[in-house]
Amino acid sequence: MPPTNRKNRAVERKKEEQGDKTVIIPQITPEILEQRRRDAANEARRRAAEQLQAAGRNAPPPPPPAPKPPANTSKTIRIPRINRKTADTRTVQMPPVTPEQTAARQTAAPPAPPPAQQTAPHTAPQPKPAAPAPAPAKKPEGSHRRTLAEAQSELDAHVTHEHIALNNPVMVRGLGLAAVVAAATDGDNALMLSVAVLMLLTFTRVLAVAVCHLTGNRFRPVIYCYAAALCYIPTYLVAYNLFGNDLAVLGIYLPLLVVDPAVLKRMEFDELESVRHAFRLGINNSLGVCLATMLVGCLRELLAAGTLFDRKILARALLPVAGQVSGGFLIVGLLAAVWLAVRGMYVEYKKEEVSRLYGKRKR
Amino acid sequence: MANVSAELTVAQAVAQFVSYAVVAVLAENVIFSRALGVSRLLKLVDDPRTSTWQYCLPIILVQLLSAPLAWAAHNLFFPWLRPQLPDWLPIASLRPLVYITCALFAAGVVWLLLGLIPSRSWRTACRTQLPLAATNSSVLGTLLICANQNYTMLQSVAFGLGSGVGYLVAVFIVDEGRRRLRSKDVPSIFQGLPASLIYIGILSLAIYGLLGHAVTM
Repeated sequence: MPPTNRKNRAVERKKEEQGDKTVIIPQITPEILEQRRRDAANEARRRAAEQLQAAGRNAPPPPPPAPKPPANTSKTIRIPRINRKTADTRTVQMPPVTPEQTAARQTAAPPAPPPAQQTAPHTAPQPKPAAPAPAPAKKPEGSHRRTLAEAQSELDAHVTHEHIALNNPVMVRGLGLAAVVAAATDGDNALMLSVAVLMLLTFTRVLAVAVCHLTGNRFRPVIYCYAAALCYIPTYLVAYNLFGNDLAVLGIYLPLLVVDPAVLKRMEFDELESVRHAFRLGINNSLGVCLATMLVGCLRELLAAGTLFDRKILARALLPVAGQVSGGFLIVGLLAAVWLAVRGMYVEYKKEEVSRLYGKRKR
Repeated sequence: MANVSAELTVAQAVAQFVSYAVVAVLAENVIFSRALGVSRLLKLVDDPRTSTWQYCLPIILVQLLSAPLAWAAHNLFFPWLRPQLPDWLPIASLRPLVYITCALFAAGVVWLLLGLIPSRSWRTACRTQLPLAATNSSVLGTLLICANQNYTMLQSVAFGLGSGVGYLVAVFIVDEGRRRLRSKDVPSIFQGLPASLIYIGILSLAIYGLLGHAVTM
């Protein structure tokens, strides 16, 4: 055998040996790899638990979890020599690799480039070749946590933006209390106030937002005040046509709706919403105020006079002071306590339901 | 003789001014008797960044300055305007528009007056709170009460000043109560808004018991 051939053979053998070492990746034992995966999964689980605890806030979604590795992944690494076909097949079965795993592998793997011929099969643990052809069954697992986070943030947004019951302007946020406490002393007054609020709040918000768009969101307090005062004119006309002189019973509380925090609260925020959004939230808010006003008005009439819309319900008045301002404060305070308790229970139930539903899918 | 009667008139005016102001602070307190501005008050006592004085000083000044303007609007502007309006447009529908203009004009004057405050941080804080103070329900409510009760200008100014001071007193009382209501002894469902409302309700009940009658709406 000529010396050159022998030399070539020795080089080839050396290359093969090097290739074998690269394939095995001896620095990463299956135990180490498994340990790192377990650590990453624990970390992701811990973050998800933290996020669950901080419910109600708009916490950023947790990082994507470490996907559960398939059982045969370690086999891929352990087999020192495999043909290209097998390696490719097993590469396809690899799950999408998380950044933690990638970092762990990159720190553990030797930086030496693999031999040219065996590169393809030996890059199986690397994320890049595994990414283009992930198994379709694994993808939902990767996106599963995102769905959980999305579901939680969706629930939070629902709780925040649902102004009829969950985030009622009167009972939860304490807006519009003047009219509810002092003027909603019976069902009729409450009905008049509700009609006025329904028209005034929505149209004020829409008109003010439209004008703010024109003025570049400047002079917000002035714009909101004058929008409310202008919207009060048609509101008064409609209410006067509906209820006639009974409106006088409301005294100063009907014109006071113009500066009611339930109507003007939006002027305190700097961001400018769209007109469509303003209309939707205006309706939502007004329905919430109407619901609270009607509830308080009917309850106060029932307690103060034993009647409901002037129809006798109870033989005698249970709490005559309910018709006064002080009684209004007490009744609204008690109702707010009950409202907040029920709301809290409902929100907790929904949060548990979301975590249970998506937590089960995870396994 | 003329001097004596003039002195009596001045004394009567001062007595009237003081009595209306005291009534507005105590018996007809905007918070405890009429629940005006109670939503803002609850937000204010919850907000540690906003000082009570920095919010209430603009309110007092706006109420004081807007009272004569509102009196002028009620007694001079509306009688002139009423015949000009078409039949389908009642003058009552324009009241908020006119009184808000009075309050905002007064707020503009107050903005200039706040420039006299030597402390820059105080000046800035008061001016920041000025829009919220000018649109407080207690300001417009006081103007409407003065108009409904047909107060004279002196009575309007006294009542406006008293209402502003009464709001300040109410904020201090509710603030102290709110501090004590943070105790763990308060059941969790009552903590926050419900406890504050019940607390204000009990104080209001005390004033109602003291007066023996409800104030006119």
